[in-house]
Amino acid sequence: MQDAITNVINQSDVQGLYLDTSAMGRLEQYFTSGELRVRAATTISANSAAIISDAVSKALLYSDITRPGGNMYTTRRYAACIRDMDYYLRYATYAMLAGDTSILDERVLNGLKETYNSLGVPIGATVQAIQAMKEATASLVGADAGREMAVYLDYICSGLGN
Amino acid sequence: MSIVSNSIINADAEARYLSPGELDQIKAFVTGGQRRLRVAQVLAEGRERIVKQAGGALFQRRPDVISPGGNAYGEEMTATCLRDMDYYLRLVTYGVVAGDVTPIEEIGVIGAKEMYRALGTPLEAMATAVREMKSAAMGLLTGADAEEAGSYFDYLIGALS
Repeated sequence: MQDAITNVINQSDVQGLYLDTSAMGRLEQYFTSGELRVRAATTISANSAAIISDAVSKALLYSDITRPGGNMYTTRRYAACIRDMDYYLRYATYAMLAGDTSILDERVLNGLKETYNSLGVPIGATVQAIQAMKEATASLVGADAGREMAVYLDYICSGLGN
Repeated sequence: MSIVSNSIINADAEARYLSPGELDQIKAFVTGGQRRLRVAQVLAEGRERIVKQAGGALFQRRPDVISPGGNAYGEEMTATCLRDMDYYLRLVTYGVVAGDVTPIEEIGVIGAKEMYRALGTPLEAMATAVREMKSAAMGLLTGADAEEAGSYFDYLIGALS
């Protein structure tokens, strides 16, 4: 995986360059936003279960998906759904902290859509649940950090959609 | 790899969020970011001076490398030697901003001994070159800045020795 720092370093290195003004500017931006990221990660990790319950109840509960024949019916599948939500929140938090999406490509999205399709997991409902998680997160961490988390949760959604 | 990626990969191996201790370390890292950028900038701006001064010192200590039969003998080979020194100085600036030796290790340390042996370049001379770059760089930095940069030169010296 890369983070905001190694991303800049790698781009300079392939050209054999010292870090130029634009590279320095990007690093500075990351360092300046770093405390916000750390604070948000701290809050999310302390409240992850609540964020997921909130999102699941808003986006998924008492709809066709939880009734017999739905993909969240049977407690085993319900639990698998919560577990997946937990993954998305945790990986989005990693990516937000890193300021880089590469970990999502490498460890979440690679093959995910194919897996879901073969398991019959509805992509639309998954995306709705992730969007609900975005709102639940923003209401906890505040608007600025919420916007930053949204970048990575949206990235997962678009990776599922394409 | 930086301290940020490193902590994330460790946390992910255990499927957990980062611990308060890991988050504190990252916080300290980003808080010191401006200072590290400044250190990297001083080194980058001083690169010609650092490499020139260190090259002069190296050739004084090891006249054999620029004498006939030496690995840096001849204008072209001397220039190549100085270019490699500049590469290593650049990697030190990467290490400084990443707060971690991994960029230096991944780009310029793994396989370096084998490469230099294959090229017939004496490793001790490379280590001496880095040591001389360190002392030239220390002339441009003070206090905590010098200490920070120094640790990356030291890592490199150890890795090439």
